[in-house]
Amino acid sequence: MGSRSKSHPGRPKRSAAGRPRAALAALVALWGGASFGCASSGPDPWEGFNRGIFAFNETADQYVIEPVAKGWDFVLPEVVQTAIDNAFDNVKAPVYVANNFLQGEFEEGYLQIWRFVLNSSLGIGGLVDVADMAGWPDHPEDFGLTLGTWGVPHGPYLVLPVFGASSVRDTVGLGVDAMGSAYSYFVPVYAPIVARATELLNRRAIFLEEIAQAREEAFDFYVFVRNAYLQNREYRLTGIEPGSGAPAPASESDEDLYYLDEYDEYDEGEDEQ
Amino acid sequence: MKRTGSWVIGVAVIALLLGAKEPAAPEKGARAVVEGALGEIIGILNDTGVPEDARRDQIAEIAYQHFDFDTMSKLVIARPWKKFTSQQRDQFIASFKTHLARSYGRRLSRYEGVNVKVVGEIAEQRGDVTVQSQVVGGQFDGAEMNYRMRSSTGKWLVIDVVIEGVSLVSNFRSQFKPIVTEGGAPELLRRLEDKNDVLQQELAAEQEE
Repeated sequence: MGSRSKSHPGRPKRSAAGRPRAALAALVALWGGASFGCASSGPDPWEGFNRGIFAFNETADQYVIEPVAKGWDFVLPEVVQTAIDNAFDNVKAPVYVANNFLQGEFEEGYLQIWRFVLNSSLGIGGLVDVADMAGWPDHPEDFGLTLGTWGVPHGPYLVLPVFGASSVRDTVGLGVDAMGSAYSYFVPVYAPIVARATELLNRRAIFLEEIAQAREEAFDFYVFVRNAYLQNREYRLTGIEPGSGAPAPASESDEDLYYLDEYDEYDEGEDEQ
Repeated sequence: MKRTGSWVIGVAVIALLLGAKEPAAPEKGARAVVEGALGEIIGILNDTGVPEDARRDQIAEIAYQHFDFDTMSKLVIARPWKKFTSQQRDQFIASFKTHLARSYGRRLSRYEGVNVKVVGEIAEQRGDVTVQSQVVGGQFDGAEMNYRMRSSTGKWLVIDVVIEGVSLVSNFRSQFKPIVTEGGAPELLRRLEDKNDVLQQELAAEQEE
């Protein structure tokens, strides 16, 4: 595990201003930080529990989700899968817009509104991502990342049944985002669940081979997924846009990752990673 | 006749000047190295007239020239590297190289039609350079793929590939660490060899399909 996940308070992308935001951040940090975040043993203090859920998910995947996804993949051509994925992405536009604004990414927020308008109309209800073709790529932001931007630490790594890799912070975010999805207000209560299941199944079908291969190649698939999840979330929180010419963030974890000579100083000590 | 002679001399002088200039020219930058290698690899990848295993070998050959497997191995193992004997180190470097070639080789057919464009570079601490690229097309369309480059011997070589923030070095390190902690170098080498055998069988099986 990269030591990036030492319980550092998350690097805010920009200085978060505004009293209501600060107040909310303090509140969530108190809850998230006090009760979960101060665990001393690295990013995964609940590893035993998490591995249990992970094993359950793997079994469910092996016997139910993957076979169904294979059927799905067999029946639906790739273009249709992409279209479905696009449509689900489009429905989440309000969530993306809201989170971009909440993170102070106003330009991106407005762009996401225009994407929604363009894709819903010209893109036939979001089936075709015409905005992307026009050079307006999507910029998905979720409430977990919004909390991170506000300085809320991610707390312990947490594996959720079916949903998989998450963290305490991102689980809160998942719930908030679910309430914000456009369709949750217009349809019966079970519909979002069906929709979400379909979305995940479709996504699962798209990455069928990639996942099978990653699973086969991994020396410890649980660690593989955890490492990838935590790194990707950290990158999405602090990441810099490609080609922006922005200076590299001075990252402590980079030092650990790419320069080993520091190790010479404390020779026989236990590796803290 | 005289005119031809002076022409020849002129060419010779220019050639000499160019020749002399060559070694003095600054070394090829990290970005240019990545752009060149990616261009070659994508050319081969999409040259679907050539059989897949031949293309795989060609791509591996290019990758071998541009990856610093010694440094990567050291970074992947991290602190316990000092406890590896030189024989264990050599064995690990060779097996790890094989592992990467086989696991990425298997993905080849799925990446046909994909392009990668270099979009920027970042100067890192202590002289490293991150070359940023973006995937165009395929299921990872738009994904950011970064190459961490280091020039320790005057030649820019890749020491890590970071896809959407996920570092290859870090990912292997996190998986290898418990293995080394429990069983030391011999156990890791054994597991790596086993995995390489499995991948070899998979590759062979896919070839027959």
